[in-house]
Amino acid sequence: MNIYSLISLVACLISLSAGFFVYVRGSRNPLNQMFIILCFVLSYWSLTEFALRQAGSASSAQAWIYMSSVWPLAIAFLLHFTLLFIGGGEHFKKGYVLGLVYIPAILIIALSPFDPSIIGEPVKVYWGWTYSVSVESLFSTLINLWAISIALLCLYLLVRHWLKTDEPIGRKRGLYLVVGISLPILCGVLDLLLPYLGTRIPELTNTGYAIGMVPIAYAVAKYRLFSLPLELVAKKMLDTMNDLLIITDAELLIREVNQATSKALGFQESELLGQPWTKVLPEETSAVAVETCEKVKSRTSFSDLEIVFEAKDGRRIDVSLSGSTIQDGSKLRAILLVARDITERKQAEETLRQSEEKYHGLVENVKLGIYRSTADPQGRFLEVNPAMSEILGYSREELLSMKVTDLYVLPEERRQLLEKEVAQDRIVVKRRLRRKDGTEIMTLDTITAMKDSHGKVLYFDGIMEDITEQEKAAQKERELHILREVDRLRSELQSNVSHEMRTPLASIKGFTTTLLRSDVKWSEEERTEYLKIIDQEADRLAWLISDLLDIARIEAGALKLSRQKYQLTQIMESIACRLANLTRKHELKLEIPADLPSLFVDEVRVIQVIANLMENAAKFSPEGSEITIEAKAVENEVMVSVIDRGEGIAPELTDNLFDRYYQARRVADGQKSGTGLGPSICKGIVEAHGGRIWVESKLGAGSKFSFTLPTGGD
Amino acid sequence: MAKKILVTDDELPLRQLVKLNLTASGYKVRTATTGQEGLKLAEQEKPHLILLDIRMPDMSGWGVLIALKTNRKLEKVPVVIMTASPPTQEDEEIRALRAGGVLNKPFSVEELLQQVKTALGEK
Repeated sequence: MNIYSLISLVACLISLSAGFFVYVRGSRNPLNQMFIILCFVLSYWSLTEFALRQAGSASSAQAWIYMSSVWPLAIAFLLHFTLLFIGGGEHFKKGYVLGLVYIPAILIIALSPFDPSIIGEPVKVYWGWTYSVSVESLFSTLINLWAISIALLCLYLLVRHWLKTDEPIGRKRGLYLVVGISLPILCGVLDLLLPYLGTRIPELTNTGYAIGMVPIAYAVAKYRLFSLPLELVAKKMLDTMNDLLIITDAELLIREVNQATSKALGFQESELLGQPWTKVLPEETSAVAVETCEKVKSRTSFSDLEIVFEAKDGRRIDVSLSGSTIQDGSKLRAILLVARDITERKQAEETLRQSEEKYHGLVENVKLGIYRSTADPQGRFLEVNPAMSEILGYSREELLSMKVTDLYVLPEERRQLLEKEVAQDRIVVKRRLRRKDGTEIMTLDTITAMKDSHGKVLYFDGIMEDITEQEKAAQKERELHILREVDRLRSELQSNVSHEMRTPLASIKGFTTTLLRSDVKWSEEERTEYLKIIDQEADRLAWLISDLLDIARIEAGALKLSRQKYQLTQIMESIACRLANLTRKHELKLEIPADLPSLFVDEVRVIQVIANLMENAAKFSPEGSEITIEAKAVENEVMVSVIDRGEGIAPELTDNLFDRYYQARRVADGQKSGTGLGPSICKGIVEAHGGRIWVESKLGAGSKFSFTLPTGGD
Repeated sequence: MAKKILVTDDELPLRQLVKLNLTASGYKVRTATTGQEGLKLAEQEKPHLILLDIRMPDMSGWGVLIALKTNRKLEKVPVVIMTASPPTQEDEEIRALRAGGVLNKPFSVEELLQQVKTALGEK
C-alpha cells in the first residue's frame, strides 16, 4: 500500500465521519439530508479510488474504475445541495436545473460500461493504478466540461450567497461553507483539466474534500450550519400566523407580507411588495394611519390601535393594529405591523353594545325604581337606577350612602317587612316613604330575596313604583263611592222608614175608618177585634219611632245608660215572658251558667239588645228550629251569643250587617219586613257599654250573633 | 152576581181590613200574601179587580204588575196599586202600565171603596 492510496482511504473515512457527524449533530431537514447523501457518495468514491490505486492487476483495476463511475452523481448532489443552501428555489426553476444535472449524471453512469473512453482504461503510474483520460474523445471532453461548469456554478452560487448575506451568522455560515466546498471543487476542476494540459498528478479531489470537511464540520458545530436558514424558518412561521403581518422599510414601503395578509386582503404578494403600506387602507383613513406610523418612528411601538383595512375587492376588515420598529443602532431599518382581524369581535361587541343599550335604556328610562339593597336591619342600597332618584328626590350618591330605614315614614315597618321578606322569596308590598323634600309618598314594591345555597339572604332586589297619585286617586274614588253609597242608602232608608211607618198607620187609619162606616153595622166582637188591631199597630208605630230615636241618639253619641250591677240570670228572668212570646214557634234553649260574674250595665238596654237579636233569629229561621242563648265569662267580660239554625247571612253582608245603611238595603231588596235598624241599635248599645258585637254565619247553616258586656260594678 | 176582587198584600192587618170592608160592601174577596200566590190566584179566579201592594217580599209589586199586564188572559183586569211611597214618579209608571188606580197608604175606607168602584167602572 503506497501513501497515495492511503490518502484516498483517509478521505473516504473523513467523508464517512463527516456524514455521520452531520447526521448526529444536525437537525432533520432537506439540506442536512442532502449533505449526508453527498458525504456518503464521496466516501464511496474515495473507497473505490483507494481500491483502484492498489489493485493487483489490470482487470481488477478496470473493475474498480467501473465501480467508481458514480462520480457524476456526486456533482448532481453537490448542485442540489447548493441550491437548497442558498434557497435557490426562488431564483431557479429547481425542476429544470436538477433535471439538467441528474439526468446527465445517470446517463453518464449508465453509458460508461459501453464506452471505455468515458471513464478511461486502467494504467499503472507511480501512485498506483489509475484511469487514463482519453483527451481526444469528444464525448469524454463534453462530460468533463459539464462537470467543471456545474462545479464552478456551485462555487459561484455559494460565493454570491455569502457576499449577499447581511446577517452576521448567515454570513459566517456562508464563509465556512464556501471554504469547505470550494477546496474539493477546485481540486476536482484541476483533476479534470490537468490531463488536457498533458500533466498528470495524483487525483486531488478526494484529498481536497477531506480537508474541506474540517471548516464545514466546525461551522456545523458552531453555527448550526445545516439548520434551515433563519429567514426561511421565520417566513414559514409568519405564514402559519393568523394575524396579518406587514414589514415595511423606513420609507413605509412594504418589504414583506405573510400569507394571512395576502389571503385576507385578496392581494398577490407581488402586488403588495414595494407599495406604500397605506395601500391596504381605505382612502379616508390613510392620513390617520400615516400619522400613526410617523409616531411609530419616533417612539418604539404602539399596540391595539383599532383601524380598518380595505381588501382588494373593497371589503372592509376591522383590525387591531400593533406596530414596532426594528432598529440597527439608532438607524430605523424596518417597521413591523401586526394586524389582528377583529371583525368578528367587533360584531360581537356591537351586538353586545346594542343589547346593553337596549337594557340600559330600559333600566335608565323606566319610571320604575330598580334597586338592590342589603338584608341587614337598617339596610343599604347597593345599586339604584335613575328612576329611584326621581321617585325619592335623593341623588344616586345620597341614596347609596344612606340607610334604607331613613326613607321610611315609620322605620319599624322595615323590621316587619324584613321578617316577611326572609320568610318568603318574593313579596309585593305597599310602603309609605318620605322623600328628601319631606313629602310622603306611597310606593308599591316587588321585592325578591336573593339567597345563597344555605337559604341565607344575600341581598334584596326590588322594583319600586310610585303609586302616590294612583293611591290618592283611588282614595278619592273610594271616598266618593262611599259618599254616593251613603247618599243612596240614606234615601233608601228614608223610603224604607216611611214605608214602615205608613204600614201601621195605614192599618190604624183603615180600621178606624172601618169602624166609622155608616153603611155597615159591625158586631161587638168585630169592633173589639178592629180596636185590638188598631192598638197593636199603634204599638208597632211607637216601637218604630223609639228605634229611630235610639238611632238618632246613638249617632249623636247621646245614648244615656243608667248602669247598675246585675246578674245575667236576673235579666234573663225579667224577659223570660217576652222571649217565650218571641219564640213561640221555635225551640228556645238557654245555656247560661249560674256562676257568671255580675254585669255593670243598663238593664233596659241589654234587654233591648237580647230581644232584638232574638227577634231577628226567630224571623230568619224556620219554625220549629232551635234558638240558643249561651253565655260565658271571658276575661273581664261576659260574652252572650244568640245562635239560630236559620238561613244564614251571605259573607258579603256580614261585614256591614251592623251598619244601618246596609241593613236598610237588605230590607229594601225585598227580604223580610222591618226597618232593619235592630242590629245597628244593638251595636250602638253594646259599644256604649264598652263591648263588642259580631256575627259568625254560614249561608244555610245559621248565624251566631255574639256580644260582650263589661263585668264589675262593685 | 158579586164581583170577584183579589187582594195581594203581605201585611195581615191590611189584607184583613180590605177584605172585611169589601165583603161588607158586597164583593167576593180572595186574598194572597205574596206576589207569586197572587199571580196564581189571578189565573185561577179571573177576578174583576186586583188590589196590589207594590212592596212585597218575594217579588216587587212591579214584577207582579208586569206579569199581569203581559198575560193575555189577565191584561184587561184592572189593577189598583196600594203604595206607602209618596205619589211621585211611581204614578207615572203605573199609568204607563195602565193600572186601574192608586191607593196611597194610609187610606180611608171611603177612599178604598171609591177607588174600587171607579176601577170596576161602577160609577
